[in-house]
Amino acid sequence: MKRTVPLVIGMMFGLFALAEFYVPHHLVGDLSDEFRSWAAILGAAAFILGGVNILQVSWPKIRRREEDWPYKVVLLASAAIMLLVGLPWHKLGSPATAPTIGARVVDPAVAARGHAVIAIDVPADVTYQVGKTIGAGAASQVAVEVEPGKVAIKLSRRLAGYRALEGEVTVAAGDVVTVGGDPPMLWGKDGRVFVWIYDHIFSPANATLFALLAFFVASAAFRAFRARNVEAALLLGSAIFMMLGRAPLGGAISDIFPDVAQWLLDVPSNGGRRAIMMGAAVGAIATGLRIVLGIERQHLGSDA
Amino acid sequence: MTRGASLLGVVVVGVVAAVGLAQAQPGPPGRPRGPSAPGATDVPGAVVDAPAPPLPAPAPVAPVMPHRPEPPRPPIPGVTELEVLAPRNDSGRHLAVTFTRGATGDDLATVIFRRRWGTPNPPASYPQLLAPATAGAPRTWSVEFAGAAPPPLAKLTKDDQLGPWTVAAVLEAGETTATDEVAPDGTYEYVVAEVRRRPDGTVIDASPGAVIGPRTPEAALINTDRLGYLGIVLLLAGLIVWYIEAAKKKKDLYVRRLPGVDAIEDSIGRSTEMGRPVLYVTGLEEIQNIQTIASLLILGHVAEKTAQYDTDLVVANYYPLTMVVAEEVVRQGYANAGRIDAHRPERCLFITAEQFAFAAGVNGIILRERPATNIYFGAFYGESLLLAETGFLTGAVQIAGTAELTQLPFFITACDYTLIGEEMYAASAYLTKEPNLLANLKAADAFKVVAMVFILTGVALATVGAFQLGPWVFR
Amino acid sequence: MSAPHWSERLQRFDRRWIFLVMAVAVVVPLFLPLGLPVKPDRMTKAAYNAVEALPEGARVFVSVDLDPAATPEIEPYYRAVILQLKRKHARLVFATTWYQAPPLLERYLRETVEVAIAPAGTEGYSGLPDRPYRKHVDYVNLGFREGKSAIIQAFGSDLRGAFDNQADDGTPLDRIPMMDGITRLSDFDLVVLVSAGSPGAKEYVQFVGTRYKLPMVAACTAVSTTDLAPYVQTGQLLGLVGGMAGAAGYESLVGKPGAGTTGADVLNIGNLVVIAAIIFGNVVFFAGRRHRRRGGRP
Repeated sequence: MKRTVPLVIGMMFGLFALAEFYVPHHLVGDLSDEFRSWAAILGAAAFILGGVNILQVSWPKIRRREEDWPYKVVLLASAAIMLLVGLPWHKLGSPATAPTIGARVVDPAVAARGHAVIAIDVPADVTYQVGKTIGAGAASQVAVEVEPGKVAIKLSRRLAGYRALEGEVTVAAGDVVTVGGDPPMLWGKDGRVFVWIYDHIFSPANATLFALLAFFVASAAFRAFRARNVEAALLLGSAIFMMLGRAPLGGAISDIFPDVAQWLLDVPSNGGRRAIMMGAAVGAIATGLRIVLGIERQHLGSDA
Repeated sequence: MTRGASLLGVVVVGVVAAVGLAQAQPGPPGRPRGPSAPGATDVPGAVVDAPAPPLPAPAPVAPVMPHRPEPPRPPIPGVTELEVLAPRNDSGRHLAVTFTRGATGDDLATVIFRRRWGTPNPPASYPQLLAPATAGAPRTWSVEFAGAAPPPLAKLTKDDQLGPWTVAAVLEAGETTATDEVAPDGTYEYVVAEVRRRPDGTVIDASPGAVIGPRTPEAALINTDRLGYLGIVLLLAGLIVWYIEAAKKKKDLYVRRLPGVDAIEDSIGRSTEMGRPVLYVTGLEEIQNIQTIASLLILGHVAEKTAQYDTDLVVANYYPLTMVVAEEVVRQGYANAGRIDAHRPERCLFITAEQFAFAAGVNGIILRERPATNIYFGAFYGESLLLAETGFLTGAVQIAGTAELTQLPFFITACDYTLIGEEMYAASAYLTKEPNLLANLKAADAFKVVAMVFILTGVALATVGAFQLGPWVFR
Repeated sequence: MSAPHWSERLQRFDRRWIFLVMAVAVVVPLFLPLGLPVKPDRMTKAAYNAVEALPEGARVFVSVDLDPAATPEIEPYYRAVILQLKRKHARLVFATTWYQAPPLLERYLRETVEVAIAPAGTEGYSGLPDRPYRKHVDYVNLGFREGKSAIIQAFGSDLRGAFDNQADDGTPLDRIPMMDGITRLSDFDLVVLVSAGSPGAKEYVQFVGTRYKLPMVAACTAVSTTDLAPYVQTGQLLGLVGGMAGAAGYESLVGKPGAGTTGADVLNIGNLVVIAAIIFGNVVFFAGRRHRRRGGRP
C-alpha cells in the first residue's frame, strides 16, 4: 500500500501530462493550469523549507564552533540582510509621491514677458523636468520660465532606488511658483539598498566566479589535451583551430583559421551534437515512460 | 478603468449627438456611406450564411454627419470572402477570422468586431449596424461610427468595448487573418470593416461591414497534428512491452557496459576506505526537468550503496523542492539497504538557487570536506568546469552525466567518467539490472535503430534530390 | 634514490603557475592593447545586416536575458546594437525572462537608452550620432516576467497579456502611443535576443521563432555559440554574435570600438596561453613517455 498509492498518483499525473500534449480541449488545459498553480505554490513553499534547511545546517555548526563556522555566520547574516532589504519598508509610511508646490507670487516683469516662472528648490543630486526643460538641482533655486497653463513637473535622482516625484502645476502669466521635493528612497527589490548590493556585491562576485573559468580552462587544457592517440590528436588540433579561429588573432594570421573553425562548427560539431541530442531525447522519453508506466519503482521503496 | 471610462464617455456623448443629429437632420449623410452607398450592397461573398438565422432586428439609425466635414474621399470597399471558423485542433477558445481585403492603403486598417450572438442591438450602438438595404439581400451591413462627431472619433484598439461590441482585432495593412480568443461556451457574431485612420490613429471613415454568425468555437478531443508524436511514443511503449515480455522468457538481456556507472560502486568503496564522504550534485534544473528526475533516480541507488558501505553522503541541491524530493529519495535508499537509522537528513542540502553562488557553495564543500567521490548528474551550465576542476584538484574520483551538450566537453575533460546524454537516462536501469528496466533500455535502442533507418532513408533521398540523381537511381 | 625525471616533476607542478600566467595575459592587454584588426565572422555580419536592413523608426523587441556573469561577453554587443538601432530611430521595447536581469536592464536603460551613446563629436566615432530616448515615447521597458519557456510562448501569442497590459513602472500600455498596434512578437520588425543562456535565444527559436516566423538576431556567450549556430544555418536566426570575439566584430561594423574590442585583445592572448598550455602539456607528456620507454622510472 505504501508503495502502491504513490505509484498510482505518479502514474495518474504522468499520464495526464502526457495526455495534455495530445488533447487540446480547454477543460484539460484548465486542469493543467490548476496543476501548474499547485506546482508553483509547492515550489514557493519549498523555499521556506530551503531557508529552514540552511538554518538547520548552519546554526548547530555555529553553536558548536565547528570548523569554518565564521563562514556560516556570514551566510546567515547575508541571507538575513537580503531578506530585510528586500521588503518594501517604505510602504509602512507614506513617502511623498508628488513635488511640493510652495509660495506663489506675481512678478510684473515676468508677466510682461507673458510667461511664468517655476522656481525649482531641490538638492543638487536631483534632476528636474519642468515641461520640456530638463536640468540638475543646484545649491540655490533654479528658475525655469514656462508658458502659462498646466506644467508637468518631475523630480528624480539618476541613481536607481528612489521614487520619482511627479505632479502638475497650473500657472498664469507672471506667476512665480516655488516647487521643491526630495525623491524618497525606496526599499524592496527596486530599493536603493537592494540595488546597491546588487551593483556592488552581487554583480562583481558573480562575474568574478564566471571569470574563474578562464583559469580553470587553461589548467584543464594543460592536463587533458594530450595527443595520446589519433583521436586525441584530432581533438587537440580542432581545439587549437577553434581557439585561433574564434579570436581575432586567427584571422589576423590567416583566413584559414576562421574558415576551418566555422567548418568544424558547421559540420563535425553539428553532426555529433544532433546525434547526442536525438539519443538523449529517446532516453528522456524512455525514462518518462518508465516512471509513468510504473516500471521504475526503485525510488518508491518497498511495500513493507 | 480610465480608458474604459473615456470610451464610455465617447459612447454617451456619441449617443446624445447621434440622436440630436438624427432629429435635426433626418436625411442621408453628406458623404456616401450606409447601405445605399456605392460598394455597400455589391460586396461579393461578404455574407456566408444562407439562409440567415434570425437576428435581433437592428434599429435603423440615420448615419451621422460629421460636424467638420472631411475632404471628400472615395468610399472604402468592404472586405469580402469573410469566414469565421473554429481552428483545427483548438482548445475551444478560439475562432479564426479570414477575409479578403477590399482595399489597401497605409491609412487603412481592418477592424474585427465581435459580440455574443443574440445580443440586442440598441439604438445608436457603437458601431451602429444599419439594416440591409432590402430584405433577403446579402447581409452586408453598413458600419456607422455613431456618436462620433466630430472626428476624430476614437483610436480603436483590441479589446475596446463599443456598446455590445468588442474590438476583437485591429489588423494593419496586409494582414487578412486573425485568431480571436473567446469564451468556450459562447456563440458569436462578427462584423469586419475597413477603417480609414489619420496618422495619429483616429478613425475617420469606415467601409460597409461584412457580417457573419452565429459561430461557435469547437474544442477538439485530439490534436491530429500531434498524432505523429503519439505514434512515436506508442511505438516506444510497444517496444518496451515487447521487450518486457521477451525478458520474461530470456533472463539475461545483454546491455553494453557503462564504465561510468560501474565506477559508481567502486568509487563509493574508495570513499569508504578513505573515510571521506561522497558528494552528489543533482544539477541546476527544477524538479520537473527530466534530467533532474533521472539524477534523482540514480541518487536512490547511490544512497543505497552508501548506506550499505556506511559512507557519508552529501547531496547538494539547487532548488529547495529538489532538496525535499532528494531527501526522500535518500531516505528510501537507506531504507532499501535496511539502514534507515544511518540516514542523516541534514546532509541533504539546499545551497542556493543562484548559479555561481551555488558553484561557490559546492566548491566550498569540496574544499572543506574533501569528498573522495564527486558525482554530478543532471543539468549543468557554466559552473560545470568550476565544480569539476575543483574536484579534480582535491583528487576525488569524479563521475558526471548530463544531456547539456555545451557542458559535456568540460565534464569529459575534468572528470574520470562522463555519461553522455542518454547514458545518464540509462544509468538507473543499468544499476538495478532488473529485467523490466533493462527491457526499457533495449526498447530505446531498438527505437534508435528505427530512427536511424528513417534518417538514412531521408539522407539518401535528399542526396538523390540535391544532385538530381532521380532519373539515374529510379530509372 | 634519484630525483624524478623533469617531465614527471612538471606533470605535478603547481597549477597556480598557469593561473598566474593567465592572470598576466588577461590584465596586460587591458593596459597595453595590441590593436590587432578585428574581422567580423559571417554570422556576426549577418546579424549586423539584419539590423541595417530595418526601416527608419522600426519597432524592435529587445530581450535582455542575462546575469552579471555574462556581461563582459555580451554587454559590448548590447551597447553596439543599441547604438545601431538608435541611429535608425528604432522604437525599442525591452523585456527580460531572467530574474537577475532587471537591475542590469535598468542600468543599461539609464546608460545607453536615455542618454546618447555616441553624440555628435564623439572621439573615434564617425557614424551617425544617436540621441537620448524618451521613456514611453521612444522606448518602453516591459520588465521581467517569470515563466521560462512558457512565458516566451506567451510573448508570442499575447505580449500585452503576458505583462498584464502594463509597462514595468505600471503605466498602462494603452496609454503609450508607441505600443499602438503591438500585441505580440510578430508585430515587431525585429527581435533582438541578448542571451546568456536558458531561457534565452534557444527557447525563443524553439517556441516562438519558427511558429510565428519571427525575424530574430541573437548574441550569446562563446560557449553557447555551438548550440545556436545550427539555427543560423537553418535560417531560424538571421544572425548570431558569439561571445566577445563576435561582439568585437560587431563593434567594428558599427564603427564604435568599446569593451568588446579591448576584450578581443584579452581573448587573443588568453587563447594563446591556453594553446601554450596544451603544447606545454604535450611536451611534458611525450618527454615522460619517451623516458619511460627508455626504461626510466616514472
